[in-house]
Amino acid sequence: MTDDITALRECWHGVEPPSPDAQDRARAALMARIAQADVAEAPVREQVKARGWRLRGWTLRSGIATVAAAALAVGLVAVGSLDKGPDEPSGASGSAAVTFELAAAFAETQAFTPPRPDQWTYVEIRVVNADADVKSKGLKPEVTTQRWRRADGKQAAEIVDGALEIFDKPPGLTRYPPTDYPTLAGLPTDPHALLDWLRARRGPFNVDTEEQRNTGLFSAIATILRDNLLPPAVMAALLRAAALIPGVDQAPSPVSVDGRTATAVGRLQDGWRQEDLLLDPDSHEFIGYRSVAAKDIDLNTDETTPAGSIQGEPVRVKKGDIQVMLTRLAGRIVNAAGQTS
Amino acid sequence: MGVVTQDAHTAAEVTDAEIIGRMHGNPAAFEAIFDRYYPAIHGYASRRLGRDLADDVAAETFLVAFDKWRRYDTAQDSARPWLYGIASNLIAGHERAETRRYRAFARAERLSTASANLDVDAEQLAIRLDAEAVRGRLAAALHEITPSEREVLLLVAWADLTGEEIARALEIPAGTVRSRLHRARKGLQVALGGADPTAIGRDFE
Repeated sequence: MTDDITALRECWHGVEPPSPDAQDRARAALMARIAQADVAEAPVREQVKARGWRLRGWTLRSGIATVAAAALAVGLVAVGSLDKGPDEPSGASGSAAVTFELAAAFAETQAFTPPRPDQWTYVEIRVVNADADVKSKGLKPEVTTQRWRRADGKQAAEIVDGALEIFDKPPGLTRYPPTDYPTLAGLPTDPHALLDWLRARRGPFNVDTEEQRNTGLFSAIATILRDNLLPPAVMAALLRAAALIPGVDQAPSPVSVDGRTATAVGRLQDGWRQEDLLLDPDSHEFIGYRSVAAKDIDLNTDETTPAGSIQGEPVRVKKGDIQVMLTRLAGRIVNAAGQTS
Repeated sequence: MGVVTQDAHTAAEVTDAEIIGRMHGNPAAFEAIFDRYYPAIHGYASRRLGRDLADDVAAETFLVAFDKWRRYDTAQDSARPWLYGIASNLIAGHERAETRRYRAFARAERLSTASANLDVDAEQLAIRLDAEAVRGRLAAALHEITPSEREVLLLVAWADLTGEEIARALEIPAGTVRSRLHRARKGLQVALGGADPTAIGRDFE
């Protein structure tokens, strides 16, 4: 007999490896914890910025501006929902607030079985592009996209030129807005915490003004809602968080989408385009998204665009032109990339 | 959707300390640590507690590690000892399950010896019985020694840590590691029915 350490190693050498299922569950738990921890850190990072906003709103402005800002804030609080503090920016009010809440309530009451780590989320979307983009960027007028994402976040797949292509996701890489299921499923389900999470993560864009920050927040929420399959609680939180963004409102009359009508709730973004979430007028189910020019504009020279002035051919957009119209055709869990049911 | 290409620096050339250092801007970088060590941590827990409890312990190890990553000493390139230290603490919470397991191994050895005459191939049986007998006796000894001695011994035998790494993993002095290991090995050698005195402490002086 060799020594005791060697004997211990030899007698227990044939240990079974972890099952892929156990490993996937452990990874999913870890990714959820990472997402949560990010949220916990967000308020610390956000505190300074939040105070900055209040300072701009309440202290830095002088004279009439201060009085006007205060009056405006008081007015909004009086009209808006009751759970807001006096120094918190106001989001949806009146019918828009009710509509967002009905959409959230619909979302959170839907039956949902979370995917296994080896399953895939499947989302099919029809996108109708703007005439201006079709001309200037060579986009197809209408395109249907089919996307799969493995629920453990390791792979994504889509149809490229008629063939299924599967991509590996490098470990540790996070996108904004997030697209991997573990991160999405780990998003905060409290709308305020969710906004903090998004604010803490916004990229190098939309950081100059409060309006650009709010535009970025609404865009991120719209993108997450339209591109992903989400757990009901997360979807509801996104809709409630959207309702908290200053400037959101409801279109005065239903809009027409693919031959049916929809309720539109959204906001004027970057001062020139109205971006709306589209909801079924009866059930308030989220069915799509649209962006419509709210004024005549040349996108290559007008300074209200985040990109600023750009040299080149003018890209003229007329008030009322639809920039993009997007409808969700499917969103479900499947067993393999390429499957649609 | 943009096609994401594999980062050229995800391979083994990047140290654990570098990965953990990057977590300040990107907490999700920690996933790479999980990928590197989950199978090893699971294997270690599985030897001590069985596969089912190992699922829990290995998963929890990385959650605890993530919660404490800011306290990781990035002067240490390898996170291995640190992760085994966390796993050891979690395994310590399952002491009864662990000792039950060793008792069961010891009992299995006695049972198979008792039923030996039922088997046909005597030569094969002798080899199998010898291996089972050794395992049974080792298991009985693992059951007998104290939990803190067992912890150090098994970090050497099954996690392949050095004495210095164990001291860091368990946050105890190196001298304590040596004395616990010495006592544990004495217990085992008695159980194996003979001592090789030169083996004692060989790896750790």
